[in-house]
Amino acid sequence: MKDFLSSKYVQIVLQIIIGAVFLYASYNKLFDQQGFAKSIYGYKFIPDFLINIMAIIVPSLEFIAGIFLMFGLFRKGSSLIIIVLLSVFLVALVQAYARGLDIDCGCFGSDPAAKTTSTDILIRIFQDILLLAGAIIIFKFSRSKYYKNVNYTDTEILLSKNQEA
Amino acid sequence: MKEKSSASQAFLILIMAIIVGFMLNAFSSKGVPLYTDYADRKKLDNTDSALNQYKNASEFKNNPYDTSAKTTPNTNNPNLTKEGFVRPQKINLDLAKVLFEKNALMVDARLAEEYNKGHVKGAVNIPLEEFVKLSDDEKEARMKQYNKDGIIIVYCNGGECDMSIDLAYAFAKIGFNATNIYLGGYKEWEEKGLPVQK
Repeated sequence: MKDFLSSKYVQIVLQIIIGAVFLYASYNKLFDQQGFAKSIYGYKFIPDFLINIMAIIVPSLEFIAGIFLMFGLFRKGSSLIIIVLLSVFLVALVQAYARGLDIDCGCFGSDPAAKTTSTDILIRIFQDILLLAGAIIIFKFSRSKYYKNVNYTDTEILLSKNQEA
Repeated sequence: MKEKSSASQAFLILIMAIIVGFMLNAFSSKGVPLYTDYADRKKLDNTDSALNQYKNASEFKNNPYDTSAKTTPNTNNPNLTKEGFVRPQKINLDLAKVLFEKNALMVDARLAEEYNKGHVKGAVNIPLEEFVKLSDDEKEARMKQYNKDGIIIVYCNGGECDMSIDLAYAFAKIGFNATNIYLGGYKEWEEKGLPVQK
C-alpha cells in the first residue's frame, strides 16, 4: 500500500488534481477581496479583525501552493499549507452546517446572488475530505528526487546515511 | 529532517503569499482595508425621528416617480459622506412599512427568478448582479425614470443577504439622495403578512 501511494504515478496524479483545484479556486478570489471577505464573514467563525487579513492572504496562499504542487515544487511545504487550509475550511463548513447558517460558500469566488443550501454544504464537506486525504498522501508519501533509488524506504536511507558518516 | 524542511518550505510559501496578497489587494479595484467593522455594516440607523415625520405625512415631498422635480443639492444633508454621496440609511420594518404606504419606490435587488417567485407589492426588480456590471452612464440611464430625491427602499432576501446594501450604495453614488436599506428583506416582509406579489 505504501509503495502504491508513494509511486510517482499516484503522486503526480494527486499533485496535478489538487494543485489544479486550488488554482481554479483561487482565481476569482485573487482580485475580489471584498467578495471573499463577505463570504468569510458569513461563516461567523473567524474573528472580525482577522477577516480582511485572511481575505488578502488566503487566495494567494491557495494560488502559490497550488502552482507549486502542480509542478511538483516544494511538495512537502505546499501540501502542508494545503492540509492546513483544508482543515480550517472543513471546520468552518461543519460548524456552518451544524448552525444552519445561510452562507455564500466562497469556495470558488463569491457569487453575490448564490445561496448555499445545506445539501451543498454537505457536498463541499465531502469534497474537502477527499482533497484533504489526497494532500495528506502527498505530504506523507512523496519521495524526494534526491533519492535516486526509489525502492528504499525513508528509514533505510536514514540508516545508510548514518553509516556513511 | 523531513519535518524541518516541510515547515521551512511552508513558511517560505506563506511569506510569498503575504507579499503577493498585499500587492494584489493594493491594486485590486475590489480590495479591502486591513480592517472593516462588519458588525457595524448591519447596524440599523436611528430612524425614530424619520418614523414620526413620515407617519403623519399625507404624501412625500418628493415622489420617486416624479422626474420633473429638480434634484436638490445634497450639501446640507447630514448623511453626506466624504466622497460626496448621501449614505443610505438602514431601516427597520416599521419605517419600511410606513414609507411603503406612502408610495416609496421599492427595489428588489435579487435575481429575476427569485423576484418572480415573490416580491414586495409594486417593487421593481433591479438585480444587483446586473446593475454593478453597468458603466456609470448606463447606470444613470437605467435609473433615469426615477427622481433622485425620491424615497427609495432597497431590499433582498433578508438574513445574511448583502445585496440590498451594495445596491443602495450604488444608487447613492450616482446621486440618489434618499436611499434606504430594509435589512429584514423579503423574508421578514412576507412573514409579517405585508403586501406581496407573486
